[in-house]
Amino acid sequence: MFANRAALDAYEAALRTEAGLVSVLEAVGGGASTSGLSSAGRTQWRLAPASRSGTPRPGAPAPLIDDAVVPAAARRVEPEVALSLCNAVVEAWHAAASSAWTTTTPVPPPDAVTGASSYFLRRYTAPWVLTRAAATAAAIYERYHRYPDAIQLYRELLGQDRWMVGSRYVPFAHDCFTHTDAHRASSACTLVVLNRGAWWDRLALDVDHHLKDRAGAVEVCVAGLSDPHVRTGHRWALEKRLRRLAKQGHSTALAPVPPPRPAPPERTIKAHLVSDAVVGVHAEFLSRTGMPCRVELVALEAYQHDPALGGPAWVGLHAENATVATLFGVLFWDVLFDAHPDVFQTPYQGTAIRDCVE
Amino acid sequence: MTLAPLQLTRYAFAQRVMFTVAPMDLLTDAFYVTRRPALQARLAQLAAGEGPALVAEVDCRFRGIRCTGVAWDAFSSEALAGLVQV
Repeated sequence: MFANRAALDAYEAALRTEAGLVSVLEAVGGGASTSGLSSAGRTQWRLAPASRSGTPRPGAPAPLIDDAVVPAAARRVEPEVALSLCNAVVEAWHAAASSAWTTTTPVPPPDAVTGASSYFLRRYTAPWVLTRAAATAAAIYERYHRYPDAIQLYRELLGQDRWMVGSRYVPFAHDCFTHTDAHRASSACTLVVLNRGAWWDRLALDVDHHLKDRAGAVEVCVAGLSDPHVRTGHRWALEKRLRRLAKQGHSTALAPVPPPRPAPPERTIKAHLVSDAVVGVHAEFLSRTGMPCRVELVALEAYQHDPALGGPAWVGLHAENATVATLFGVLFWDVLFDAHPDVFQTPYQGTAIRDCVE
Repeated sequence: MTLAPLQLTRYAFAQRVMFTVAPMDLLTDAFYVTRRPALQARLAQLAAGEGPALVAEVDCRFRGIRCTGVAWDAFSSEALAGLVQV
């Protein structure tokens, strides 16, 4: 996984730096939206960082921020302290990550600087973690209304295609060496936007709403929409902003909104309810075979047997997301199991299911 | 159509992936970023209408082998073929 011991040490230090910055962000106003732990639970987590974090190996690089700088239980951080920490992290990110941008190639080559042999392993290097930390810094800038700083940082994050090009990346426990780090990282996910789509989105918001630069916002939205790594929800958000700007009279060269699809016809199917009506428990109905069953089977049976609904011509299956997932697995089987570097670490692995969300 | 160039990659790799149900990067951005050419080529094949043949072959060769996302039990061979009918 790691090229050498130094790479691992640098990675650990970067994780601690990131965790420190996240606690700054929590202190400056992210508290309300942190993860579901009660405040009592959070205090416990925060009071024990030193014992849980373990002691860094002697000679290992020190994190930029640690709990000595940001008291774990601190509710307030002075703005100057927070902003100077942000500046320090951004500088560290520049130093670690900007030495050689890759050009857009079909497949990213091994990383010359960190020694990561594949794009997948780049996430276990210090620059990747510092990229996440830089995104956290951007959020802190925004909280202090330092929009020009935030905008510049978002532009830098978006101007590179070497770190975090694709995903919202949710750090998982095996990324973090301690529960404290893991908890902080997971709270960071709720506070910080961690993918290019969201960066474009925040950038557009800052330029449009805070700088009142409408023409600039149009440019940002158009650039974001042409970024191949921006997908689904963020694409929709950028389009929405662009349409609003167009409505205000700014030229956007956007295709007209397609008309909404006609609503599907509604049909009412009657069945005999055999379970008690309890909230939170699936209702059960009597199926045609006399067995209790769920509502989906009732609908399927109706379509299979009721001539008024199309009669026996229907073939139905209740599988929800399994349909798409199965089709993907089958249609891309050989791509999934192709001999690809670094992604098959052990013969027993499942997917790193919580390792990320795409 | 056949999967000839990639052959039985699952077994070619048997020592390492014998009990593996998915590559580790499946749910990360790296999955697409590092396999873009292969994925685009497959999408082009599907657009060209090769889906049913592909499903038939994978179903015949790999049915029952576990893979993240694939619910063999929920879809019989006929149901699976029905999903990709053109």
